[in-house]
Amino acid sequence: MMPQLVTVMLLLTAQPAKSSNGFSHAIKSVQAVTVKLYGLSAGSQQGYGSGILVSSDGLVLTVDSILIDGSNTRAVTPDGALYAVDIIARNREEQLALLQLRDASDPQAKPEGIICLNVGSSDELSSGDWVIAAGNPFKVADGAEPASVALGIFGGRSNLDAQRRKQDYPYRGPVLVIDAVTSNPGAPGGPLADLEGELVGMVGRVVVSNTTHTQFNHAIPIEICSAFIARATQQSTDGLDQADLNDARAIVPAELGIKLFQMGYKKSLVFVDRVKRGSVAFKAGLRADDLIVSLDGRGVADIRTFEKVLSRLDRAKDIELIVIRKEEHIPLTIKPEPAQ
Amino acid sequence: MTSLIKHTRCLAVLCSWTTVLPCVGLQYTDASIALQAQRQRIEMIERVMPTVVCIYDGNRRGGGAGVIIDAQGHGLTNYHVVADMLNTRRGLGGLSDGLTYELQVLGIDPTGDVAMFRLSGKSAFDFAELADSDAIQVGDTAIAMGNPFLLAEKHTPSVSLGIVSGLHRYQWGQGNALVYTDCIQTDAAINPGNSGGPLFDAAGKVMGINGRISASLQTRGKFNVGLGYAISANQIKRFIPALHAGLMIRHGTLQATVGQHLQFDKVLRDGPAYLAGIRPGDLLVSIGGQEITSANQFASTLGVYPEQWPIPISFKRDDATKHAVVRLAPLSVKQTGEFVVIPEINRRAVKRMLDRFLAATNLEPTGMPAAANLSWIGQRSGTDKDGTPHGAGRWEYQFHGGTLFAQLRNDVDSPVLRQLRCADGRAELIEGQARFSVSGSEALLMKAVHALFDRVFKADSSINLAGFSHKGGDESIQRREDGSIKASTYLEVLKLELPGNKVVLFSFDTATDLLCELTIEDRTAGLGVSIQLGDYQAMDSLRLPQDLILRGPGLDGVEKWSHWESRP
Repeated sequence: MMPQLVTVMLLLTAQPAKSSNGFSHAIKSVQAVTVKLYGLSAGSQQGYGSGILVSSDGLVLTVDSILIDGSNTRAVTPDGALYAVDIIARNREEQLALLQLRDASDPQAKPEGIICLNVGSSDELSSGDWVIAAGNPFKVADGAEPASVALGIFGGRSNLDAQRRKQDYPYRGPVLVIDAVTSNPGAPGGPLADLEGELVGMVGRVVVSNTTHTQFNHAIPIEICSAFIARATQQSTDGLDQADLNDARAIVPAELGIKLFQMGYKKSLVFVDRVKRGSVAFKAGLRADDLIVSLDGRGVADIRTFEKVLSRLDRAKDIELIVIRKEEHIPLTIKPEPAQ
Repeated sequence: MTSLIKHTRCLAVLCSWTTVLPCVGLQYTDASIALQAQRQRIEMIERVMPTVVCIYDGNRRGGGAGVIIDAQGHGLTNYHVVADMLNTRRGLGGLSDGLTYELQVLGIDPTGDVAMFRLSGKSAFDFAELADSDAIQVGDTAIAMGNPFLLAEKHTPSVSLGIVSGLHRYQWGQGNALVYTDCIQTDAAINPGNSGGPLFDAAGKVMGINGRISASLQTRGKFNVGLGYAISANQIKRFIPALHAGLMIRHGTLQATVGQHLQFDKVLRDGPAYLAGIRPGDLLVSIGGQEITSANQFASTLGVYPEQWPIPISFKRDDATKHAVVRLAPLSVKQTGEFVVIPEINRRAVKRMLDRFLAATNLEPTGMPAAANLSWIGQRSGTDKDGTPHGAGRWEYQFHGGTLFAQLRNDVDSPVLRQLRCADGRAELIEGQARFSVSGSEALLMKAVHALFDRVFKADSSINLAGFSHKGGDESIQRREDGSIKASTYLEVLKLELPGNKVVLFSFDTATDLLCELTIEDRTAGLGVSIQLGDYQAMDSLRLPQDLILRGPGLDGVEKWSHWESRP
């Protein structure tokens, strides 16, 4: 009974759009944020790639690669406009890069009013759910021509253990395994969305699994991308207007005044390495060498989980922690401070 | 250990998953819709499977796929699938009934990578319909069928499922050959052996012919990596008449190039663009009614037209927009080996078109008896060559024993002003004023009408095909004042050569199979007349045209074929 009711409801509220297939909305959504990138070509790096528009003033998320190493990286937005590109941040370990579009003729000018996707949650995906990947594999599209889309099924989450051209691939974190073939030149860096058209990940680089020795289609979960963007925009400059950045900006440890003890990319326990004097964490009583075991009522066994839970918390609310200090469990509350 | 939190899917999410149409085949949420979609898909696959052909060359070494598009066994495939069979024109086609049929290669389109073949050995073949590929959207279901890796043991094609990933893609060819213009991109798996096979939509109509993939040759070889390309059905539709006729058809070119900002930079003297009045410096506005915004789109839009095809073009000079219809020049293409037109194939295409016309007019199977006395009475308004008005002139045409008589009176009871006779391609004045010249337009018109009666309408058991050949396709375009396209009709054109260097062209509307235009040229005298035929009505159980519009020097008027009689 219930599914029928739902269907009727939707028929009544259906969009007037001529969506003859159930994917039109999501496809248009992902195509609208897919950027074509052109840059350095070296070896098997083909000199073109894909990226995702993530802020209204032209921040572009993509994979970290040789493509953006040149001095003349260019980006073409879905409307066909050509931009120059500055690198805001890149992270070799996570293989992520954040770029800023610049007006090709006026390097100071940034674009305005760019529409971004709602950020979804990769945690809400279940195995068997449809996902849609967009990008510009093989440089098929040119100028304002829409990006290619591929429909796939979300297979599950896995920790990546892969190599790229006989070298260890540094990213060892969780990935979303999909069956759409995205392991193609030019495809990495494109958006992965659910059927709602909400961003759930970014198509990962072409890598070979150390277990199966096959190329392996995957995406980096959006939570990891969001945390990277948040860190990147915070570190980068004062010039970025915080309010302008979209929801992708999540709370990161640095914002609370703590630095965690991190070694390699294996899952490590959430040990506090340093606490900034005068920070909100310091005021809450957090100290170096504390082991954080719970955040917001949830167990946090490793840094990745801690950052993920933290990234979803509301900046305006109290943050509840439990730390272990000298075999003693100590609950702490970090109180937010009004923005200065 | 993981502490990922499973969220219960909220209603909003569930909702969006059920918005999808169950009939599309891919999308579903709950099991019953999923099963229904699957059943529909299976039903559709079972229905179209007998139309898919596994093609092998005579030695059964190489192969590909194809799809049958009519009951007589005509089918489409890639040019590159049959390229090695061109010396013999013979191959084999296997169907899902497990049997192999003889395959003959008919016409080819090397630039567009399309070829037509015909299977024989069965009275009626299952066939698939071509879709309107302009109505496709990205995200639509795409089902590819063919014979990848020549896996099919008993010619049962392999099936792969995906979506339309991109539209209007342009893929470079080798020189002017194998260019994929305006093609459909899909993520349904396409592999070697799928070439020439159909890309079906959810309803089982052919959206295009698969023929090409993107591949990362360095790492994975020439196999599917999620990007396959199909030549769109609407492009192929323009080539089908010529392919039927067993011709090698080239694509068209304007013989002009555009540079930055769509400004014409090179215009070949006496080329199509030049003859349309285009000069370097003019700005391109639209082609075929479609606004052009990039040089890439210019190439892509032009690439779907055959040579000699008429296309409307608009361009700008000094802020004034001009419109013209140009006939495209042939684009040369390197062709391995010689392609000869086989008369038997061409004659079969002539007969096929005439049979369709006779069926559409109910003349089949008897036609009009050769001995019948047919008469037609019509009014024409216009002027003679010397300017004499024959305003209310009443023309009576009589076809008797293979001879056409025409006489002109002022009205029913008035005396005959002039009488003409036409037989065996010769027209002569047998009564009336001498100032009337029978070697002019009126005589040509008589010859055209005679050819129509003698060769087509009177068709009894066999049509006299002598002198006929199939010229391929054409399009008739009507434009409005503002340059926009009012109506367009795809035509199939037959050519009849008459003694004395005269040529009659019969143009049939491919949607209705009715004759819509007839032109006759006297190539020695450099004179031409055309008759447009329209408003087909039922008369004496036949469907015959009521409206005639005559065009030519000295002819000006609309006639109505008001009366048909068949007297013993």
